Amino acid sequence: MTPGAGGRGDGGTALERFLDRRIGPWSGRVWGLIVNLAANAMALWGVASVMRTGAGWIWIVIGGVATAVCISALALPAGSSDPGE
Amino acid sequence: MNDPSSYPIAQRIPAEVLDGEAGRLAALAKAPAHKRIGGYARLAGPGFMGAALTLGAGTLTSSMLSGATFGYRTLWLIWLACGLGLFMMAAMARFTCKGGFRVIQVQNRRHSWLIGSLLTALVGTAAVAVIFNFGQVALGTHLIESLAPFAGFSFPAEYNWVLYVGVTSWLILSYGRRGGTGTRLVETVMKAAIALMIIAFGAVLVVVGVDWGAAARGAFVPWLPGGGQGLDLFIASSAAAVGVMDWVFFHYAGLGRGWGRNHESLARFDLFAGLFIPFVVVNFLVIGVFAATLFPQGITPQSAPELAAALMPLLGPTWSQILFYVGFLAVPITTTVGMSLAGAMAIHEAFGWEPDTASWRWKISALLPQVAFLAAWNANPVWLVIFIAAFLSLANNVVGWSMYLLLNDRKVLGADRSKSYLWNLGILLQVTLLNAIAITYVFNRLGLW
Repeated sequence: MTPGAGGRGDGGTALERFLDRRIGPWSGRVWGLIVNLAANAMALWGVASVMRTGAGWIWIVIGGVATAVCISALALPAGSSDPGE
Repeated sequence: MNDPSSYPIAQRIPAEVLDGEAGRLAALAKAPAHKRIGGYARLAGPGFMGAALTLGAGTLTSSMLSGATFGYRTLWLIWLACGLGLFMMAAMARFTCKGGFRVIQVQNRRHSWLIGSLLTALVGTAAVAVIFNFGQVALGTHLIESLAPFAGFSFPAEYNWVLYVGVTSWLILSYGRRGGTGTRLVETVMKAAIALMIIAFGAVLVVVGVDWGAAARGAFVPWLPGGGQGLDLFIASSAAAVGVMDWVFFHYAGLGRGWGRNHESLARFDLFAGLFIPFVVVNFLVIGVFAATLFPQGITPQSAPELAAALMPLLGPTWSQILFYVGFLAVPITTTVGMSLAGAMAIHEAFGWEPDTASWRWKISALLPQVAFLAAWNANPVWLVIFIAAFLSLANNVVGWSMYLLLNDRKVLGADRSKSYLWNLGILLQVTLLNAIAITYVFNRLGLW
């Protein structure tokens, strides 16, 4: 069972619709990749801070959780709940 | 779309050969597992070529250094790094077999020429082929120079580069010629070279001995050095095992073999048996040799020639020294051949040229990396290496994004797009590691890392 899968025949879940919809210049998937990059940078910024000053664990936690959320959402295949395929 | 013989290099293969292969594949699909594996092994090729390309001077130097510095403790990184890369390689197999398109052209159409022609073809593949070949030629000519005294004569790098460039150029120019037999010749040489590496490094490992307990712990218990060095090692090893050039090469080499819809099982077998297994085995053997010899003595030279020279007195009999050098020589030779072919394919795609292996345009593109013969005089274009490495660090992840998007693009793959959560997850993990390389590179430049 994939997270967010279900809702057959209604064009997919809200997350699927978001990933496949065009928002401004790009699709939701591209925006998700950009947010993932920002989350990766946040986590690594935290690692760099901890190595230099011993402080900055909060950035590692926020960045790490955001990365996990982005990857989990983006892994949902396009139109995974499309009927007839 | 999806005509197995539409790629010009595949058009040189006679129709009866392609039909015969399709017939064998259909028969193998119904055969028992052991017969299927044997049949697939004979039909496979692009995966072995990918392994031969990836197992270059850089990868082997890194493994030698890991073994000499950390012993067996980083063995687990090898299979994890290559295994993670297989998700993206499976996407390339999907593009080749079920998409039937040329991925760089589709990137140009869907994601702009900046992503396709520039970042994937020219920077990620062609420029890398030229720049990284300096390291291959430097290592190859050094190894020939080191081997010559065993035969009782001297053959310095300043002269032996002619031999190195001659042999590799012959193989490069054989690809795609003589109705497909040239391609099979290159694939056979690549397979034989990998076998030679395994036999040579394996025999040397038998001579120096293995601490099986430490090796088993190193292979399955994750360990990293502390601090930034550990994170650097993890990111670099995980993301660099299989990169943009490997993706492009496997895809176009498959098209060059006339792979179509029925070849996806063969392509996946080829990725596992041809790329993953040889990559892991050769790296395990090399790490094992250095973990058993230099590591206990605390000797950690920094370059491949220094590492090999430091190893020699510890190998004992002369034959094992020769065997090590011969196996090691197969490393740069196969990488030069693979990179040159990948570079030629990429240059043609970047400029929208049809690849005709008999044309001067193909020959010049394919032999472009041979300017690295200058490495025989210790020439190393440091400024160019720094520039390309920087561009590459910042570009690889964007190319990874593009491949992930294409795999999930209805308009590109239709019903053949990824429908697997796990497959997408594996690709996204690799993309995140490529992001980490780009970010740590920027942090490094800013003095933050």
